[in-house]
Amino acid sequence: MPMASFCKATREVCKLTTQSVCRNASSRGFRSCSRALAAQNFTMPAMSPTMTEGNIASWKVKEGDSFSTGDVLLEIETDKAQMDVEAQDDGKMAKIIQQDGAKGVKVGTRIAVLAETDDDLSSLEIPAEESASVSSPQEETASGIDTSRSSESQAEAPPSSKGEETPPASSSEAPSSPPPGKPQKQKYPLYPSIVQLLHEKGLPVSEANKIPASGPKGRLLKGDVLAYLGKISSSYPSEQSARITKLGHLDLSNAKPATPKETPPPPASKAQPSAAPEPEITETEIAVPISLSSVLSVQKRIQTTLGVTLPLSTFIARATELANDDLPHSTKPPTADELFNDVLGLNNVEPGRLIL
Amino acid sequence: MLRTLVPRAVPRRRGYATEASEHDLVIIGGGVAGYVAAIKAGQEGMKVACIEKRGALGGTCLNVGCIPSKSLLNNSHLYHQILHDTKKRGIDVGDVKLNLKQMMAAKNTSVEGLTKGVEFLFKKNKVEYIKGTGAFVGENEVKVNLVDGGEQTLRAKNIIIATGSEATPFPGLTIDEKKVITSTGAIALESVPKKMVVIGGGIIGLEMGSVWSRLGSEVTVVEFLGQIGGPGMDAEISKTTKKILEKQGMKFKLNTKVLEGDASGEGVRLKVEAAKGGKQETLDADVVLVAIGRRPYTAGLGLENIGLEVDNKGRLIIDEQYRTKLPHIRVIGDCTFGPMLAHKAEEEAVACIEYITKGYGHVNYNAIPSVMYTHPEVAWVGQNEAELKEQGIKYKTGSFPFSANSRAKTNLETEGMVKFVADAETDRILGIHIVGPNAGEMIAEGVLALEYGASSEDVGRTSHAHPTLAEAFKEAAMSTYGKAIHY
Repeated sequence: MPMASFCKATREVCKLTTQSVCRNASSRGFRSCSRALAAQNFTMPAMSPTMTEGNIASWKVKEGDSFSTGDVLLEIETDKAQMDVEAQDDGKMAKIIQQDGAKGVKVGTRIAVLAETDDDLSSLEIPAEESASVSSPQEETASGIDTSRSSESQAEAPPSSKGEETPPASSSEAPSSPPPGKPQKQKYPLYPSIVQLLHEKGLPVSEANKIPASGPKGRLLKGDVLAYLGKISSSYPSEQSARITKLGHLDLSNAKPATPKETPPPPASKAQPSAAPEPEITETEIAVPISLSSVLSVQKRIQTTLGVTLPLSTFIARATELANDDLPHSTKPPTADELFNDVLGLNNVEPGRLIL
Repeated sequence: MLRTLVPRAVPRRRGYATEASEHDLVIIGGGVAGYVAAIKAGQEGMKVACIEKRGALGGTCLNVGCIPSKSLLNNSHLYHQILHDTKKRGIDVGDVKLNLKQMMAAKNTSVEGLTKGVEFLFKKNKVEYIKGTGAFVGENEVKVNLVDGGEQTLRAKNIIIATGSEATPFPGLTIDEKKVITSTGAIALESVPKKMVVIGGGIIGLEMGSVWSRLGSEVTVVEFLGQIGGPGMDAEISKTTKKILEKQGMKFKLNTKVLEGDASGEGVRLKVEAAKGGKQETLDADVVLVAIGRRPYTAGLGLENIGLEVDNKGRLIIDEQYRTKLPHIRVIGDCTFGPMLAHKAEEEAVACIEYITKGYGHVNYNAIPSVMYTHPEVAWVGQNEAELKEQGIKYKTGSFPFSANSRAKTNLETEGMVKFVADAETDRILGIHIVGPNAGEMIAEGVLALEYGASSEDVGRTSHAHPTLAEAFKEAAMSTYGKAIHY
């Protein structure tokens, strides 16, 4: 692997797009993958749990085009629907392998090669196609492609990309030879065992940044140092981490649907319950003639005794305040104490304030 | 003349949404999985409703599980200790009498306070609490049969199923919660049974067996497997625990299966025989506790209306992001895969909401602790020796007995030990197993160590206060990569 692309991969490890090439090693959550190349295979995504193959209706980007997150890359047709496939990360279309109109493309088959936005396509190495056996709809979860249906709004839940028929992730993600961790700057305090080992061996503590790290979130573990010192096999720590990462996932390997029981046919299409009309919020205006003679006389009395003229609006504002005292407060949220007292049935709060 | 403008009359819209309004999220089930998801969703600014039919939030855990059983475990332990364990400590106690009614009342007070607390948190986080039974009528529609009568249909963009689990009944024995009981009946018996048989030597059976044994019952535990505590408990720890519980008066019949039961008489009569076949035996009991496990509870949910599938154990089928094949419907907690633990459900609830709002959530299933609240407690996290042997992984162990711990000595509670299992090559901690005082609290440190990929040396080189029980934890770590100081 050219050094430049290796460094790049190191920089870009957190990008979701790099996961598609890492998926042999692990499906999700284990993002530090040194095999991340600049160019990646882009395979036929599963748009629904049951989808096994699809047709390419049309590509929306041409070779050499750059795209950014959310851009539609292509349209896929299945027997059920036509759907857009969106890019979940910025990139560039390096090569389209399955052209417009390709029919019956199996899920997991390579349909294009994607590169990073700033890659030079002329010098880009096109990766070999990964064996089709690694593909399962589940892994498309990790491929960084948002397979939202064009008809659905973004606010809606993303569609499933794995069904019960597909092999569970845990069984497919066991790597035969996991990639060794990469050395990286250790941002966290070093574990005490590591500091001890380095000092015992007369190595500067800064040496830790040169040691491939296999721990969670790129942390350096005692085993990594032991491997670095040649005390144990150099691949063992990363093999162990891969095994433990797998244990961290829910074991869905035994998810087999129960044999369906004879279920009575669902009741004939239920009529949509007629929705009760939402109560209209109406604004009510009430006009009541009020005599202001007493107000005026008070105003006059204040003027003569104190020499101050209170404007009429002051009287009205105060009168409105008094009148509103009986109305529910709507602006200030109830305090925690008030809520708790309400739960306990201690009704010292106006009920109106607790409207959710 | 003056026109006084009366502020807008706003019609009250308390709680119930009308059919027309759509929620971002509707959660079916207000147990630990459901209520945590609801609060988290509220915090994330979603318009969320939580449907619960029990009449109280918190589900099995708060109402009839973890919480009430801990109240009884704690108070029955106090009673037992005052009866049997005061003289040597220099405390002479007069007449000690059990007031079971008051003990139950104390339990109820704890439960009520906590469930009300959840209700308070709902209000605080603007979660709509709907009391009723929810069932799917469409892929985005849940019809609720309200507890107070009437019906309401909720539309939602996302739906979470968190309907939990129920005790698995024993075939041939009808649960009446009086003579033949599950854990639900075991926390509400009105008198102390003279003889109690517990079918199932797992965590629930041993905890509830402990309670009634301390209060005076003659308790016999019948377990099909060759060890107590279930298959996750390390064999060495399980053996030690069994010895301690036997000393407390509990009897065990391991490798024994219950053939049939007859509850027609005054008590209950069970026919048992050795699991591998052998001579039959009859056990008589006043009360039989069925504690053979729990099963997902999805009855009446209308799964068939939207074509959702369960597996042969009744678990709703999901993917790694808790999605069913209808991706806007997700499932968390006991009614799907994984261990049936409240804290597991809680982790999933938060992760599930984060999958919806942020696209990623974190649950490390390898770092979920298990605790049995007997006395002493048993707690573990990670893998046990048998599991590692099966996978052919080379490991080393290190342990430290509480009898060599200063604090345990002063407390006169020296039973049990801490045991580490670490990789033979890298020293990375693979599992931690504790039986002893305060094991349930102590395991938190082990979970953290596992989450961070620590080696036993990392724990052993971390200072632990003296004199504490936690020093035993540190010394067990030391004995894994080197030698303990005090043993």
